[in-house]
Amino acid sequence: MIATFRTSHDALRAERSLRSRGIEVELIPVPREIAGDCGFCLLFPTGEIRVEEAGLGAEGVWLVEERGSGEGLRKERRYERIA
Amino acid sequence: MSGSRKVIDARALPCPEPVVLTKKAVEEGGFEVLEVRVGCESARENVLRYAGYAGLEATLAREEGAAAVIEIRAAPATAPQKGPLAAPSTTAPPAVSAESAAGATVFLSSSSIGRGDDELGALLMRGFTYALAEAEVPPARIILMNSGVRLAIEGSECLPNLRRLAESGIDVLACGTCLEYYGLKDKLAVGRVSNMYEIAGLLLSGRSLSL
Repeated sequence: MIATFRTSHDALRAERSLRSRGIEVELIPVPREIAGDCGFCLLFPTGEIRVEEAGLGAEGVWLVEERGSGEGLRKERRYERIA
Repeated sequence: MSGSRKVIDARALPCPEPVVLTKKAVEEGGFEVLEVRVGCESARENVLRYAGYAGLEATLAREEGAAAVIEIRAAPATAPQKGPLAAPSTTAPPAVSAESAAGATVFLSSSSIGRGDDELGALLMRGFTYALAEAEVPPARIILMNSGVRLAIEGSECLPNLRRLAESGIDVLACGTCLEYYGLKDKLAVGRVSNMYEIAGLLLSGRSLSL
């Protein structure tokens, strides 16, 4: 799952907060399918995401569906907004 | 009151399955009440949040500890169903020409991109190394010099990204002089040590880009 934020600052702050609580999360550039201008968002490797968790301040939540083709690094992905 | 009821038993399913199934059922329609049974608090929150986003009335009908039953009422027939689809991106990725088909050499002579705020520079480098894995034509190799070698050291924020790239066959070369200067010779966590001759030769031999 992906959590998007209003600003990259918010994304950075949320990452620090989650990491300090031992929650595994990756700060990555926002996928093109979600937004055209540059920005960073949080990628949660598991499906668990509780955006209401104190101070996370996410603006949107997206499901990521991966269809790995096996060749190379690039995977086909589908993004659907769920919040 | 009679009314068609669809039931989803997602109690044993891991996240995000419960909300995925709920979303599919909502899109298929054919019910007046959708009953979703969940087994954990995250699933409960996800389903309730999704219902709110989709503009549907959802109530917590029952709860037993972490498990719960959520009832979602179908939208009235006249109201348009809110489709939470991704908006098309505003900038299309550039087309790749035939001559750029061979992988380029990426030369990183700093651990941060650009001059200005250090935190931003580091953030940009994280994003860039992540985005390299998403490129239509990945680079053939990455050469690291000066503080760029820090990216390949244990504890570097970019290490997972560089490891992904290396595992897919991209060469990661770190300048030996730089590693030794910073006292990091035995801390290289990805790629291999290279020297000025090899680096100069590679930079001259094909397409390269430096950040």
